[in-house]
Amino acid sequence: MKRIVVAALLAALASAARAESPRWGSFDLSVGNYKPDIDAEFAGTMAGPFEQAFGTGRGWMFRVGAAKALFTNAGSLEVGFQTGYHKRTGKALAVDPITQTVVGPSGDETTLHIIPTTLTLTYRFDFLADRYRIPLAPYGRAALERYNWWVTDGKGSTSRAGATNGWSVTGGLALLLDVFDPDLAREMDNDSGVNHTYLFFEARKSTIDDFGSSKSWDLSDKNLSYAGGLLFVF
Amino acid sequence: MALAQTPPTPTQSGVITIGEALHSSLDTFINADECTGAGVVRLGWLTNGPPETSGVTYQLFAANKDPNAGNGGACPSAPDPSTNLHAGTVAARINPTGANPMPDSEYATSAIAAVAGFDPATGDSTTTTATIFLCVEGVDPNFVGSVFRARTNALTLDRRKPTSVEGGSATTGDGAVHVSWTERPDTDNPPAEYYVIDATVADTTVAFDPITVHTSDPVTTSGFRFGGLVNGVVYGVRVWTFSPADNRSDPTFVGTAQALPSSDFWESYKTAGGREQGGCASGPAGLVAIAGAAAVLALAALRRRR
Repeated sequence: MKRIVVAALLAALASAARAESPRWGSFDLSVGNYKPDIDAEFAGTMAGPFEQAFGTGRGWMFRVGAAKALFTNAGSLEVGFQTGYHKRTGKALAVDPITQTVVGPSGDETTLHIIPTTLTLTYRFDFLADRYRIPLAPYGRAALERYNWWVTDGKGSTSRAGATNGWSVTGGLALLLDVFDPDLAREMDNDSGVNHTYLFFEARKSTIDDFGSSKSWDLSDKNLSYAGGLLFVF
Repeated sequence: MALAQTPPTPTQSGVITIGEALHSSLDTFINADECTGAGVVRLGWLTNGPPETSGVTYQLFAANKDPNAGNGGACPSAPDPSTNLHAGTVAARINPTGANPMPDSEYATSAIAAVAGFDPATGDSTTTTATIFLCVEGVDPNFVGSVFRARTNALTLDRRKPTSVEGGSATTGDGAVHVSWTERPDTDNPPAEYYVIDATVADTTVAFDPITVHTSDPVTTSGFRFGGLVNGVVYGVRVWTFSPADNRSDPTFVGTAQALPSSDFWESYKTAGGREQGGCASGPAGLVAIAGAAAVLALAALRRRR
């Protein structure tokens, strides 16, 4: 009897699932925190050059991504790309023109810009959300990362530019927002082809050091990077 | 420390247009500099007549009331004490060549203000601001009738100084000093329209700067990186506030600072012994690759929509 009730409940939930437009992939926007571990190569008690210029705090990382679904039958497997922007601004150091020694912070600013470019492979377990409107979809992602960076001086001129490669893994949980207003979700699908909208939170562990190269600095985040955002499945 | 006493020069042209659009911008103020000594305003106008009309000359009038108000649109040429109208001719028989448009010419502010009933040195007895209208008439060769008439909108004769900034600081930069200041609220004086900063050589012990006083272009923010200076030289920095009429405040000395080379983050990293080489094994290739991937995905999405 109990099995029959559960089956009936699932059937009712399933029938509540609306007819959707064809699915192609997804698009996401997120904001998270990030701090490159550049000072890792300067062991010791003194503050490294990153901390001297930018302090100890973490900065914001904004990302945008798009992905193509490879299959959607038992969860979604997607391949895609992401890019974003991270900026840290601090004070340059004033140098005595005769002794060439640092005399203190300058009024000039110096900025580290990073544009991450990421190839992603994501599996999102959205089967229950799609079929039964159970509004949680955990997901995991593996990615190849390339952090394009440049440093500017007080006049805004680029002092040095380059790129550092690496990889990352991400785990997250997406909350299906459609359940809060199914009519609006259906209307959005009809108007724009967006099947589902998720609010997600994720943690990312990155290793961005040109795969251990001895000639590369370390743009990995020493800690986990946390981010949240919106995911549109279309 | 001795600072040069020469104030920075107002940078606006002071050109005041009359009539059709001869200039791209209209200066609606006659400021303190234009009021003092041999001060002048520059006027030009464009008639709606033919490019040149032989024998036509212009007359320039000034008044303290709108020429179009109660005067049939004609330029008032004489005072009328019963209506407190001050008016008169500033210049006659202008334009011997019949030029149209009439190129900019300079006219003594004292003459303009006097016929409009104001003492340009003091304003009227109670205020340092006043309103003046200028009016031009084109007169035919026989002095029979007017062939052209145009006037300015109200011009404000404004001799008020804006309030000086308060506080402020000067800090070192690479070939530069960074200057910041705070506007002082004052409802009795005209607001700050822009600022001009000067940096005067105060100490050349380390290096020599052949330019004694550097003056900035107009600045509309409350902070400024004053570049073009010589590293090693100590500069004293002053800030001048300018009003919409281009009148200057008294200067505010915000401090001294030495221009010094600065080490940006990359230079500091390398100086500390950092191993990163930069450059491109890397560079923009990654961006291009990702942009390409994005374009492919976008195209695929578009094809799907169609």
